Amino acid sequence: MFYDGFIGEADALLALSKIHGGLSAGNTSGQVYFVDSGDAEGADADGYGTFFNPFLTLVYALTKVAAGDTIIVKSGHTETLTTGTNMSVAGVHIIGQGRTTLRPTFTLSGTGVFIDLDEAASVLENVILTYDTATHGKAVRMSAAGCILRNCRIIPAGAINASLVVLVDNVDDCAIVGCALHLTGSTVGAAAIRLSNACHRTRIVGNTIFGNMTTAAIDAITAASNDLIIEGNRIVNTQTGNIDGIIDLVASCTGIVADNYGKHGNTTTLAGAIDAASCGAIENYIQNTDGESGGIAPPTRST
Amino acid sequence: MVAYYPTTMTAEKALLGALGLPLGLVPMGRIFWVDASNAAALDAPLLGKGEIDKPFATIAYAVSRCQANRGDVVMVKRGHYEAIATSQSWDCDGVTIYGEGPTAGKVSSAASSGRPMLEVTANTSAAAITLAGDAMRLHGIDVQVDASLAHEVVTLSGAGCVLTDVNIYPYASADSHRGVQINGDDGIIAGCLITQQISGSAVSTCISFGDTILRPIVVRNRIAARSSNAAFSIATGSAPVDAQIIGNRIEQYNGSVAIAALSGATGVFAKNAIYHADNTTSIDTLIGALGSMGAVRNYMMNANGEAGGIVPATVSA
Repeated sequence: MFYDGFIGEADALLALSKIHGGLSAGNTSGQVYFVDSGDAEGADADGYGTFFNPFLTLVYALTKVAAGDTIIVKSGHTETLTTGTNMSVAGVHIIGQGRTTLRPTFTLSGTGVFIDLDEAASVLENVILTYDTATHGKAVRMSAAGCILRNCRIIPAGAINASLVVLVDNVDDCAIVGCALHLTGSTVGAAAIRLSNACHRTRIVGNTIFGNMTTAAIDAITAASNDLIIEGNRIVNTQTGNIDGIIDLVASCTGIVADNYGKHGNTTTLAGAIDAASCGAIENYIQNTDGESGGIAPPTRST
Repeated sequence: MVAYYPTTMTAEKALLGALGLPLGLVPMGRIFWVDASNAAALDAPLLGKGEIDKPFATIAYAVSRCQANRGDVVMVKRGHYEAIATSQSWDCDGVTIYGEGPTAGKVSSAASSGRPMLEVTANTSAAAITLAGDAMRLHGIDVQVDASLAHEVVTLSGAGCVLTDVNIYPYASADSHRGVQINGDDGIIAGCLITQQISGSAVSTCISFGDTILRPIVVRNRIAARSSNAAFSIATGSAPVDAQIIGNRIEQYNGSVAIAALSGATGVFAKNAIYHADNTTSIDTLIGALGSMGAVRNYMMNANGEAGGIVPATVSA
């Protein structure tokens, strides 16, 4: 069974979510608000936010929500964010309508503009984020526990790559699932997903990552995280000079790194392409030379 | 959930939810029904037309009644049959065309008891069906080719168009046809059956890509190729970029024709299971050109009694 929002970004999502559990945002008893920049009957004012009279901006909608509310952003909505946007009420769920290229699109414009999931259990789902300057330290930061980024596309608007795409910043139990993360501009990025400090029980599942990254597509720095799940991701890192180019976890990280596959621009060796620290590394395959098949990574099998 | 849904949306939302579209991704537009087998079917903008008991007669007309980019849905009833003798171009951004019911497979007449059946009855002047709008989706339809079709059966020309659970097959052994072409960025073909004629040579490839298509996705399809061209090929211009061709089940019955002709492509080509009828040529040759795509865990078998070997044969280390 294929689903509108999930195919393409992560067709394995549903099965994996059943295995790992807890990824469903579930129903909510909160209020539902609608946002649509293209609706002539809409306004950013009290009394709006309904299906037929939506708010015009997500920024305004976020000022009206209470814990557990849902914001549905209609297909085709476009909005330019010129300052950092915080999801600063716990449990708010932002859902984009539509599929593929007609998902709501938010342009992160200007230095340091990013979306911050900074209250517990925030969910951002099924939207497109574009960024337009190299000075973005990240496009999305997850800075509260239990946040979910699901089925989103994050992609440069032009030739410039951000430094990071998603930063999980010293919080536990977050999930990045079914997203397409691109650092496909002509400049070089650092990483697509970075765990900074301890981020226990983070799940990074069913994502596609394409780009030119100087460290690794998925990396964990500074401090070890426990019980990670990094599974079913498809990764292409065209960086030629970086040995640890696909997954690089700081020493003592634990969990499972499984079924990740793709391509690495370093043609010299696969050793180090996936550094899973103390995680169980199972059935990860990486190709590093055109015309070859991916080899298992790490290259040494347990006996 | 306390929602500001319009009251008329509630039942529709529940219906689509039952069909497997999860909450949050449920379209909130209007629903138009199509069922040519209904005696009341009529393509006319009359009051009430397009409702479940007063359906339209053709998909093209239903699409023409949709509003772009509002999540409108065309529901095509089980048993609907429609002959396609001229090229169809369905053009409305964001519209979903959703066939109901299980497949009945190849049928000998218009009376299909299964999911909707579209039958290509003539060599159309272009692709038999084109999804011309952006982010359109065609799902759950059988397309039977009963003509010597020299064009694609389906072309995804809008950006972000999606083809899911669509069966494409010939009706008679003499019928030849191309399969599906992705001719817009971000196109997706998933869970489809694409098979060419039973014997002889079909005219071209099963799945092709237009010029420099960005981020196409071809996953979990069943492909039976009898073409004198590769099952995957570039129709015109340059190769696709950041493509994902993953988890397909592929049969190639035509001699030493390679599976892929994708020189210059980038992306991932992985977990494809391939049978090739040629039992003399090296499978390493039969996989064909994959450009710079990351090739991972593709296996091909080309002689009965053997197990599939990994292709390409050289493994990165």
